[in-house]
Amino acid sequence: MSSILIKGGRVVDPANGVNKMADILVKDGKIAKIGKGFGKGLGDVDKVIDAKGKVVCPGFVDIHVHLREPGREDKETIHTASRAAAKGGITSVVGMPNTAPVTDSQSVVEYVLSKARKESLVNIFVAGAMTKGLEGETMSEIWEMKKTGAICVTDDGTHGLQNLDLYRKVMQYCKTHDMPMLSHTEDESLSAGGQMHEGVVSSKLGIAGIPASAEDTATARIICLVEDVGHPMHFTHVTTRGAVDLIRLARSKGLPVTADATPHHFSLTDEAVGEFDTYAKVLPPLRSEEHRKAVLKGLKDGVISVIATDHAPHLWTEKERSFDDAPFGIVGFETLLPIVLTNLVSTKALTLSKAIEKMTVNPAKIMGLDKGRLSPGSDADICIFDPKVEVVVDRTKFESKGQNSPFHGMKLMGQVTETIVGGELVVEDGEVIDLAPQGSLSGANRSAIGLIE
Amino acid sequence: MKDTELIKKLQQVRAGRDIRVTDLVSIEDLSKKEIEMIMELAEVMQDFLKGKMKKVPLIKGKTQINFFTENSTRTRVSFELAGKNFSADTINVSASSSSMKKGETLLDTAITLDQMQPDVIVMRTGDSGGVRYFAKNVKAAVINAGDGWNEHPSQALLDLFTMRRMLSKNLRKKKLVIVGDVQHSRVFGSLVRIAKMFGMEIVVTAPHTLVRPDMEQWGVKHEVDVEKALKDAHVVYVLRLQTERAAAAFVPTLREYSKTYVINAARMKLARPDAIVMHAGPVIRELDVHTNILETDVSVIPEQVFSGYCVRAILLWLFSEKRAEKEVSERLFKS
Repeated sequence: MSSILIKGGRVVDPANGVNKMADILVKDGKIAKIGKGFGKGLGDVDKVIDAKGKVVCPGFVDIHVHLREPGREDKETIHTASRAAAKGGITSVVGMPNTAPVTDSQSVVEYVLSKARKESLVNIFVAGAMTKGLEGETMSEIWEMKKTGAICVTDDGTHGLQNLDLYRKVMQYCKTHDMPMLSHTEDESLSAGGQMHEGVVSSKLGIAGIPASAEDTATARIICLVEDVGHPMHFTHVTTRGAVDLIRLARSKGLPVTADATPHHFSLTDEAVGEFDTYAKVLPPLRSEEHRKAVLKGLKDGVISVIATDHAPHLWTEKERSFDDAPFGIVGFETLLPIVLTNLVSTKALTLSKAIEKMTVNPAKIMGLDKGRLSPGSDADICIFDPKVEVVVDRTKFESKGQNSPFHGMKLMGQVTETIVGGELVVEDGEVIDLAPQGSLSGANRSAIGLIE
Repeated sequence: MKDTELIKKLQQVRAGRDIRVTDLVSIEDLSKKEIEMIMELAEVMQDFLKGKMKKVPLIKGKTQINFFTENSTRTRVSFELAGKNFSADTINVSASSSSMKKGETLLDTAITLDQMQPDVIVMRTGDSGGVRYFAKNVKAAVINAGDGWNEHPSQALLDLFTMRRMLSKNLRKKKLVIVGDVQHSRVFGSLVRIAKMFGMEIVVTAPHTLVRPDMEQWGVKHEVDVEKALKDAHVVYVLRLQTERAAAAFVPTLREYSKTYVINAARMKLARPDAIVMHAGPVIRELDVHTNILETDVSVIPEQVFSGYCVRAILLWLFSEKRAEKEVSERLFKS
């Protein structure tokens, strides 16, 4: 373990209400000291990072990502996903369970965690499946998964668990074992067959639509179950005005519901589909402007307290298809920060501190993770970024195997320059350091990764 | 013990006392005093039923029908044997062998069976409330041998008898921990009622999927963590996961259920050193209770079965006297 001094940056740590110029000393994987100007006289450190003109904040916590491993290592591996995350300043991710096999048992949870220990540059956390095989028929062994290290359960990776009786039982069971839940909220009978938001664009293109009511109705019924069972629910990738309003109402009644929105849903509308652009095909779909505005409003007034990417890499060849035939999904790690800075902070929708709060301490709290803060003694997961630099998104330059970003070619503000995970520098000058921080990426593992990649 | 001695002893202990009701459907049909009398009388039965000669003409000439529409080993055998020991004429009717199979309604079955002038009908059904309805429509005294998820009062009586015998006559403030499928259990329904009557402290431990709604409102505490619940327990009462009532859908797998809620030797260390383990049966070994408990004296499950034999004999005696005095209210039909 080495020591790192981060000098002269603007430290933004919403968990501690900090927003000031300060130095940070990292030692033995933990935050050792934070304070103004103490770094000058400090001699004995292994590495000094000059953060002048930059923002220093907790590493981002992304609670909705698709790692694709096990099963679809051709789309992404834990290793490549971790590189992409690190490059985006994301130091902790929660992998969704729609792997192959589905993450619905202790064995698969342990497989992902053991791969992560060997090959990941960032902290990997696992979301288990609510039901066996994500098939919506029988409950998974949620207790066993929790014992093995899964931090929550979800129905994401499907159109959502539709059987409300089973949903209620899963909730009661999660309450029994104190397991957080994350809901992909969609009524399948309304969304079935849909390829994009149902509206004027789908109407012109002649593409089957997914009505906003598919999300609204599903949100309403899950809120009813939250009230009934008394167990918290996190609604992931909220996209509709109706859903935002329902969650706002539920929160005003004191119900334990929280929500996140993705960068693509608060930045883009169904207009992005343009002439059948499959890179803008995602689930839930990019909605119309009124819905985008409602999501923005939710982010502003706190109803949506988290930003998560729903990073969903797909093969190039899968997106190079006709619209109906292409898979849903957008990669998000490497564009997260610039989109937030450009579309939320620059536009004054959120202060920098509020925006960072939604990517650090808020998601960590919901998932019960002791992450997302720069308190002395806490894990040294840190993101350093230059908020002023202009970048043009180039999807051919991603660390992720997935290139499926609709933000390609856009000019955005801000770039991550350094990322520190557990006290180890994994990104420097905007580039991933080609060494696994845990130092266990031995020759054998490396060649195995090489073969898959 | 000679048969004449037994009759004399029973009469002596009974001392002219009687029970007010003509049917036993809910344990709450009985008063605490009546239950205590049943306990005293059942004690007399113990030596006799373990003796060489088990036949006594206590209710000779009475007719007993065991009408069971659900499976049973313990309950039916003990009621039938006890009736025979007391010299009643006992017959068994099951749903599958009765005309109910042909479409006869429960009401018509009641009317029909009652025309055989039975004195006691011991009845089990899968429908909560089925026994109460049946009892209202027959002159025979009806003893509930289990109705759906509702009650199983003779089980509660034998459980009380067992606890008094194995633990203490005074059960006030003793901690009763009920583990498992509370939602589908009629045993739970009667056990909670009798335990409250005798002042026990009741804690249920089960996942939220297997408990009943708003239990706190009827004085039952719920602790999801079995290990916390077991602390200072005097009695650990395990309820079988009722897979025939689709209880398996309420937990991910039986494997995970057993890991989280099985009562085993390690967990019993958390209870009082003199704690006993009870179960209404049938026990599913390693799922409800581990063999490392079942094969020790901590388990009083076999004693419960014998208690049932003693208690049910007494119930047959007391209720076989009720036909003459029981009134059946007229069914109101607008023709």
